[in-house]
Amino acid sequence: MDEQQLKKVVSNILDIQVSEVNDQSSMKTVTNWDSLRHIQLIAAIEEEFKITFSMEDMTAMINYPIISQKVSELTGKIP
Amino acid sequence: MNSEPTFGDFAEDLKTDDIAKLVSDFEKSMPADNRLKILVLRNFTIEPIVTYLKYFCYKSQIPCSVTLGNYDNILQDIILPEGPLSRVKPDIIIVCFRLDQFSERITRACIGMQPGEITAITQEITDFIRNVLSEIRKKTAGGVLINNFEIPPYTPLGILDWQNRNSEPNLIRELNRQLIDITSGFPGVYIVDIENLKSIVGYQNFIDNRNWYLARLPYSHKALRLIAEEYAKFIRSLKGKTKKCLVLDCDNTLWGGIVGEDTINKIQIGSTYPGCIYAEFQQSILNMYRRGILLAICSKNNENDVLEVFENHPEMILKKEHFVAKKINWNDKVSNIREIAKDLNIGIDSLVLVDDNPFEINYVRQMLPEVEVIPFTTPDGYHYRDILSHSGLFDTVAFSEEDRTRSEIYRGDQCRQVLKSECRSLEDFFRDLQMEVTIKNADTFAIPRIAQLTQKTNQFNLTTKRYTESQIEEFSQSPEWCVRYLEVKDRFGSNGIVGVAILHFDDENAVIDSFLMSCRIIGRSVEDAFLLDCIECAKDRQCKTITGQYIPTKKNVIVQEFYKNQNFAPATMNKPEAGLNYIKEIQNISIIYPGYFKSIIRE
Repeated sequence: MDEQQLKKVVSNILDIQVSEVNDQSSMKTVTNWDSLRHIQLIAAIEEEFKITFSMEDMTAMINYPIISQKVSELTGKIP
Repeated sequence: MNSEPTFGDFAEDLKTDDIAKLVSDFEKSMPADNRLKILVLRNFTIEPIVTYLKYFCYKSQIPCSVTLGNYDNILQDIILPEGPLSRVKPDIIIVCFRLDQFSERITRACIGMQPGEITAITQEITDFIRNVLSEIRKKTAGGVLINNFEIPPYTPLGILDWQNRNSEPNLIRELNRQLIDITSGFPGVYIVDIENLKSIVGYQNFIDNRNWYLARLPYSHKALRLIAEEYAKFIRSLKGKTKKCLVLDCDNTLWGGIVGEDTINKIQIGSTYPGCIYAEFQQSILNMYRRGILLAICSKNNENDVLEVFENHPEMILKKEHFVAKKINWNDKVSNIREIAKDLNIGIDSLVLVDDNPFEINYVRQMLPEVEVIPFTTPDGYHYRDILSHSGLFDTVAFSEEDRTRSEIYRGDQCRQVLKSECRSLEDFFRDLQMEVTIKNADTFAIPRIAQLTQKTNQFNLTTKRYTESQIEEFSQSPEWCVRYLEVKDRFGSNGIVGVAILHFDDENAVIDSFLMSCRIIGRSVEDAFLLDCIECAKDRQCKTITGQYIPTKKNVIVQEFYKNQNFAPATMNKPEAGLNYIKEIQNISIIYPGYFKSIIRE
């Protein structure tokens, strides 16, 4: 998985700079990241990487490290 | 969930995050005022649609602001004095109402109900809708879009449900029929066929159960895009952004192959593959012609080669007479397209080009960004018909008698041009035309066309105020307003309704709120007679003065001197609005209509 590619999607959806997306980014720390933005984020990531998350994944992905990990698992390339 | 994009994908294959970025950048670059105000009332979660809706509006050059009503609070949001409807004063209201949320009984438990209960619940639903629409209409004349009801594909009795009138799916079908009856009772209310949108991509792509269970958002993002795009089609039409003329390339667009090289016998058009692709495409274009869309040809070819196909190829469905303009030559397409717009006297932004050549497509996109281009660059044409339909660029919310005969009217225009070049003076030309003018108050027959003209007219339009049918109807019934329309007939045929004037009586002053003429009548001095009629109406109401206003836009430069030329004096208004005001004393003037009309009838 291309980390930059993922960060670009996250930054576009959350309307923040790519440089602001890091391991500390979470629903708690990023103001724009509310539950509805979350749904949009999931749709954008699925589209970008051509993957489908389970509902369990969707509720678990509350910060950037978990998102990154789930995307890696589903794209089959664990970094 | 992640099926590959198909043809005509709803946002040119743009990804969700690209769209979000585009919208956010666009928002930051636009002034916050003067945006179209959209209010979405809903009984379920639909928040992510906002980005898509803005995107499709911006794409049609309509800056907008979108407000969402409170979750499952449709009626309260309309009625409460401090509620969203009263607060936002929207230009467009979208009602997203799903049965699933309103009454689980009908969508999930229909099977256990007695016939009496079923009647009661369908009654409850239709009453609710009627109530919603009438409460909206009490407060605003803005355009209303209302979703129809989705039919669940998986129903309680399975295959047995298709057999029974009172089964769940058939009850919902019946509700959708009743919805048509209900909305037709309210002016300016339009149904958005969600069922049809669902059928374009299929239930499994349209509904995302994960979002439904997690957030009460029933739709996938693909569906949300599709729905937003559909709303934008309505908004475009209501805002006068509908396209008017389809400009077609010939080789590999109207037929397969290249007539200059393959000769007339080898080009592909007919009843068998691959000619049948182009035959069906031509049939769909003929249907567009019949609904009033102007057709033009713009093709790099020897003119005779192309004309021979139109005249002599037995399988051609489109004929020469269906086209109001033909540019078949070796000039560059940009100049040809500019000339087509000039010949037809329509804005260059009301043209749509269909072409298969990537060079031409890029050239036109670069030089004429206001022309919408539909690229037919896929190797074979079996999607062409659907791509063109899906674009919805020519869709309108009303269809008038004018639309049906538009191309004939334009052909009459070409005869008039010939006459004009033969006449000694302009006045002789007007006399020779034998124009018969009729001016009337707005009536039910004319209201759709009047609204359409306010929505579509850009050039000869003094104030460019857009009105819906319901607003025109309101004006026509109010004692303080007067809506006049003008029809012209001459020796080359009828031009139909080509002028609209809306007067507002403000004590002893009559304000010309709107004054517009269709572009096809410009240059025949009909406006002189029409303005005199307005003055006469004002005099009949004992007005002492009449005030005209010119609000400049990019398109209406041709009328900037209109009131000045009609001997109105520049004025400062008590209640100044944007624009230039002109005033004329009318108490002591006598009204004499120009002598070159065969007749002027005022009713």
